Amino acid sequence: MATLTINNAGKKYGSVEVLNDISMELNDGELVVLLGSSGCGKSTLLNMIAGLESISSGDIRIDGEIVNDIHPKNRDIAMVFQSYALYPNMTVAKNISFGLEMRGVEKEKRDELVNSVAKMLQIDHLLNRKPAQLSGGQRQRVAMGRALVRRPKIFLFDEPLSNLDAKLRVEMRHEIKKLHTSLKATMVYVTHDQIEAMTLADRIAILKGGVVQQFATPAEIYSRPANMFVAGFVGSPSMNFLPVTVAQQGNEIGVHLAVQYQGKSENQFVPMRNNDKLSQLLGREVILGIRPEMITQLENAEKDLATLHCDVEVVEPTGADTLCIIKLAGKDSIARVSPIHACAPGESMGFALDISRACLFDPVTEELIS
Amino acid sequence: MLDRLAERLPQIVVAPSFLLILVFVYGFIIWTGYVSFTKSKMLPVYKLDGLRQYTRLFSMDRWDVAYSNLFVFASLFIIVAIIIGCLLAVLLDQHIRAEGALRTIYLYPMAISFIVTGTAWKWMLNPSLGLEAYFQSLGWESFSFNWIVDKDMSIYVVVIAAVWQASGFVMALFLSALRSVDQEIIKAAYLDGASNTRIYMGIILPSMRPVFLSAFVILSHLAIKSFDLVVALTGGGPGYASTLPANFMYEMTFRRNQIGIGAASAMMMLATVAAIMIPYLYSELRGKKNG
Amino acid sequence: MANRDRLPGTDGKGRYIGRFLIYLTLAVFAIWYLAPLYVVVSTSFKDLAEIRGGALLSLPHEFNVSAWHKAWSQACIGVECTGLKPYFINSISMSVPAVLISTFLGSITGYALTKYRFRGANIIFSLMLFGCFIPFQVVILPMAQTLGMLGIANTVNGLILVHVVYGLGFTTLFFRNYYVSIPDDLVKAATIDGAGFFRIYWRIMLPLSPPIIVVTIIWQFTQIWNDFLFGASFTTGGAQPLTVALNNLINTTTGVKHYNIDMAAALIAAAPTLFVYIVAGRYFVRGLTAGSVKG
Ligand SMILES: Nc1ncnc2c1ncn2[C@@H]1O[C@H](COP(=O)(O)OP(=O)(O)OP(=O)(O)O)[C@@H](O)[C@H]1O
Ligand SMILES: [Mg+2]
Repeated sequence: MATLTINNAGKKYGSVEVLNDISMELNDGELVVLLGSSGCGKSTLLNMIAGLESISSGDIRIDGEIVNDIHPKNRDIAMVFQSYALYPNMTVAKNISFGLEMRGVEKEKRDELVNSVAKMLQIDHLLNRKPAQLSGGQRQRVAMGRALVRRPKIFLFDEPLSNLDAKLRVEMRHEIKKLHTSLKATMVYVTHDQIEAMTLADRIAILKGGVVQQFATPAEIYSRPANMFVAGFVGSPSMNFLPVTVAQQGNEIGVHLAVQYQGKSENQFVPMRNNDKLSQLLGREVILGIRPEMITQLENAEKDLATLHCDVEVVEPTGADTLCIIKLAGKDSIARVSPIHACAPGESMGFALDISRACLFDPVTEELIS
Repeated sequence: MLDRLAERLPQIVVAPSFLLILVFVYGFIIWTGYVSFTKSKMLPVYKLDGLRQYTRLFSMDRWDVAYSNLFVFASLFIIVAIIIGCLLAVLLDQHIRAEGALRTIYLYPMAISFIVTGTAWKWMLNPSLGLEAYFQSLGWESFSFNWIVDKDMSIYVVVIAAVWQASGFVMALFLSALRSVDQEIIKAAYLDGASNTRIYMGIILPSMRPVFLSAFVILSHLAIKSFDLVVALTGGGPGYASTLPANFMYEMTFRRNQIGIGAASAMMMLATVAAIMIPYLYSELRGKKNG
Repeated sequence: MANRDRLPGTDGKGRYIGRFLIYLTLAVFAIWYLAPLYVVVSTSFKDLAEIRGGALLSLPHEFNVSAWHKAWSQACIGVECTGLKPYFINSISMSVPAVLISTFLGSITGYALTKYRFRGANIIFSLMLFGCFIPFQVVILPMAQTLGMLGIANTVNGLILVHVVYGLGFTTLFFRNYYVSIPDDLVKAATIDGAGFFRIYWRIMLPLSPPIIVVTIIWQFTQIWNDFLFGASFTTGGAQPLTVALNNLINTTTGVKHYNIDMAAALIAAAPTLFVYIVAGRYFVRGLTAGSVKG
């Protein structure tokens, strides 16, 4: 059980800056997900925590002790790789016990530990096989077993599920979550799959171009994204971004939305609450970020929501919900409605806008305007 | 402290091999280069003497013969070996029944030393008891094949034996490349109605440019280093009609105590190899980095 | 591999003539490749009178193995009439250690260069690679001097050193290209598991290496066994390797030429590498192509 602190850590390859001034603090037993698109430096950061890459600037501490110059084997960490990196020449049992052997654990003790971990992961019947004789899911379990058996202070996962098919991925995700709950270990988990991140994480750190964009709980990242990148990255389908101007109508402050209704362009005023903060923005151009589920059918919507009517261009049923593509403020926007209420493409229907949960972003800096 | 040492281990392990190469290859090249600018005869002397050894070298008919032989030999050897190797590879690629056995037969000369090859061909081609005598004794009185003792033709005998030895290797190279050509492209061409010949000439062979290049480089490297084959087959003769630069260098250095000229000729060989190998290796290493 | 034969090809008669021509060409070439072997083998079993009779391509009247005996233990090489036996032993005691040492060094160097990409690793590799392709004439002179200084001139040990040094580039190249395809994550995982440089080499890399070890050993053995230049340049008399002795035997100009002994001697010299080729031809070919398609 341990805490992990990263202070202003940076990484350069020659003159290329891959990571810039990363700071975060993990509490004991916390599972933090590093989320970001390909090439943003997630693996590099993980390798730095593990000690497989040197740290160019700043420091990393485990339990308060600086580990910058400590060899990986002495950091008491375990890592699960995307490719699993199972030793092809060793049996499953050997794979799991190799780390113990290197640390001088005695044979009987090793066997005992391997057996208990294998039982926990339900791979005890595979112990004498070679990795080549295992399925993808089984390899994944062995890789987990190799990490678990040492009971390290910190677990590192580098996209451990990305080589599995969709169904297995969901299953293993649940297992990792269960494991974390029962072990209460500190874990860093790298992924570029936002669903994995949302479901697993205690907190998520979103990386882009080597910089942390936001480090917060999944709920906060979803509802109060720090900037448009985060807002667009998390949630599927993505948040709609509508360029609007804050205006006043009567004594209400709100925004004008251009909509397409029965073939004609119409301007509708959507009032917003929170008047005192908004009044400072009066007349400014902002980006209104509104998630698809905040635009829904008029029927059985709450009473005090703003309403608008517009033409539906495309209809995409996804099963549980149906996505309607409509034009708002000149942009293709997605609304999420229940399948019973969806109209046919080309027709028009009424939508309720839960604008109180929408976010406003600065169009220049793309930062959230609180 | 121990961690520091452990971090340096890879370098420490590479160091001995690297030092060996540094001294025994690059150091020695510099040494030879230096000696080629001295008056060294039987023993190396270290007083610089300008380009005299090179002037002497270029004025020697023996070197002239050796160096122009190299070009005759190398170009014929490379072209013929590539043609034969390529032909055999394409033919073997036609679902031949005994492919395995034929491949074994075509390639076995590559396992043999050039000295053995030279011995065998020398025996077959000697005019008094070899093929010539054999065909004459069968009643083909006019049959004549005495190139091995003909000073204008003996270098071509070396070409024949060298092609015999190395063409199977070119075959193996091409065959493995043919087998890795994308089969979808070939199927698409069939569906477009292209004939077998057209497919080979128009699609497959042109796509094997890199293999041609490798074959060319390897063969030219073999050609420039060729030494033993000449020793065993013609002894450089008649006279010095079939010597190659490698033989020239050996003769000067070890037989005639002309170390300076030997060194100068070695440097000329190095320059010839470098002119071919450096661009090739450079592009190979480059290509790897980008690929 | 391909199912090209199931695709529509040429039809009918033309197809049969085409197939016939293909097989004919292949057969002619097979004869060309085999002819020297046949002539050498059959000559080695003939007696001198029969050879002088001039029937080069005919089978021997009776199988006479005396030439083989003589070549092995009696033929005169220079002034010593010991046959090839001592030289065969020289070649063995030269090749075996040289092959093993250069293979081992190549493997650990290749491992360090691929799995620990320290600064300068690429330059080191390029320099080693280019070292494979120099014409050895350019190092012979200083090598002769150095062997003298080290006190191993004209010895088998001297030749071992020479072959190790000039084989290193190739063995490193082979292993490097092989280890590049082994995932780096394996080494990272083992590092985290607590294994160090040598332990990872010993417990993980080496157990994965047998295919490339076989290829390298065969390649090196063929190269070293068949070498003539180094043997001829650095040894004389009793320290000569087999190829040099064979050449001396054949080019001896004194006395009657015993062609049958010459041919038997040539076959003795070729036997070990031919044996390896026939037993492990697959690996032999792989070595050739690996040595040519670089990087
Ligand atoms: N040895 C290196 N030299 C130079 N640049 C490197 C090196 N290793 C990685 N990089 C660069 O660092 C950046 C981050 O790489 P990293 O592997 O951490 O990405 P990642 O976020 O894990 O991506 P992915 O999701 O694809 O695994 C990339 O742009 C990569 O090109
Ligand atoms: Mg990664």
